[in-house]
Amino acid sequence: MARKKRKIPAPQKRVRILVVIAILLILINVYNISKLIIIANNREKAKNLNTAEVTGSENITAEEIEQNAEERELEGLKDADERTRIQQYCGTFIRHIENGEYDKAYDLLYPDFKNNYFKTLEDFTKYVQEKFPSDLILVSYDNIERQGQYYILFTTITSPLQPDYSMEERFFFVENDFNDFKVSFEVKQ
Amino acid sequence: MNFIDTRLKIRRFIKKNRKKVIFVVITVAIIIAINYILKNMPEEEIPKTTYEPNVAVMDESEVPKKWHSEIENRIKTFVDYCNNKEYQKAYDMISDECKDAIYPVIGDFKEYVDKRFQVKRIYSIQNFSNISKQYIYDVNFMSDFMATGSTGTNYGYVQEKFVFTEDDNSLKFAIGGFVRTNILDAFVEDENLKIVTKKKNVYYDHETYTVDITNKTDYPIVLGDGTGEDEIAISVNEQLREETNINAVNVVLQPNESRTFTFVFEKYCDDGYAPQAMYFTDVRVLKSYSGTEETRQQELDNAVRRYSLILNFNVKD
Repeated sequence: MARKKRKIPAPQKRVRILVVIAILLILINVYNISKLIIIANNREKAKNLNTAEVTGSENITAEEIEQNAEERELEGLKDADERTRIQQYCGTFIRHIENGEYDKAYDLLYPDFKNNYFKTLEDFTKYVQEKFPSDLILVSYDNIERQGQYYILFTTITSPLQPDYSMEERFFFVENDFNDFKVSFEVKQ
Repeated sequence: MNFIDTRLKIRRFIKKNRKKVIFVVITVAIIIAINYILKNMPEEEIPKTTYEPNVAVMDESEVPKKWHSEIENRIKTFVDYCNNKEYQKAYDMISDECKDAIYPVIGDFKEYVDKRFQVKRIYSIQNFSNISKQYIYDVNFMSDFMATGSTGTNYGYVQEKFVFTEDDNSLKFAIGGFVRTNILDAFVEDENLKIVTKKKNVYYDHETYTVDITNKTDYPIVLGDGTGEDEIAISVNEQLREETNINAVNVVLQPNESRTFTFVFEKYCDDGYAPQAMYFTDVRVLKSYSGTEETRQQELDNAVRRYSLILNFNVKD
């Protein structure tokens, strides 16, 4: 036996339509409000950034300065092509070595590479102190190749303070995200 | 009809169809709102690269999107199996045609794996060219330089072509540059010879033909011994391409002898031309054949017959 179609009374129908419209309006408003919040937050951040630049270290901590620098670096990376990004990553790695921040450089090493050659931070520190210039490090980027997700950077490392020093070095990079990368390099005997 | 009339008409229409008008207005508003939301959705920023593994370097044609992850996963699984020396699992991934042509038994495949994967390999892929529903990829195998920094070795790679063929909404996977097998069933026969070729194997840069030849005479017959030009060749785009190993193959049949030969010809599978025929340009029915340089001219002078023979394929690639 066929079921009879129940007719919805007019007032109930009107209520249903109104409810649907109300839900849609709420959804649209929620989106707009959240967008406004994000914009407001960004403005606040930008304001903080500007304040940091203007007032120097008087009002902000060293940690905040570093964070701001990282944010600016990240913004720069977003506009950069892949060659520039990889060179910048190499620069970051070398800068850590140059500044004696061996733990930071060590953290950037590819896990298997670490495991194969530098099981401890001390091993790594000993190696870079022995093989890399002790003060000013200059890197010239000779060539770059890409193999799928991997980048091979061919460089020559020199130092203006050690005129006799010159080392050709191959760096290998894998980029997971902006400023999120791992590196390995040819270990010299 | 003046302005007031029009206004009244519109008013009356709206009054009469109030529900419909409200419905249309709301629908349009919702569509506009959704469009606006979608347009202003913040895009997830990922590092931009020029790497497009599924776009062919030859002509920028793209492998259908529905196959991208399937192809990438298959290559990854295959390489993982090979790195882990799981021979049977890797062997099972290859199409039957490819197995028949290159690795008829797993022992042959094992040799390939042991040679290619002496150490753990990482790889990169790049779609090279696409012909109809055949997708050809360059796969570069490298030592695991991320783990070694290429210490103590020279950075380099070995390249191999992997081919994926769409078949009944699935993909057949072939390695070693193997593309497909074509059934030819072509033959030519005269009073001296019967030549039959049943199939050819198409690789990315060459083709191999399995050819059965029967000498029906009581004389030795020479079809190719490397002493002439284009003795055995295929015609491609009105050009003859000579058998590449003719000097080593020595296609000579003794009286009433039948032999099976494998002829190899250079031919790129994506050049757009199909071979039309196989040419035997200098069939020599000789009274005797010694195969030595000293007596060659004398034997040719005494030949029973010298002529050429064409084996037409009559098939489209």
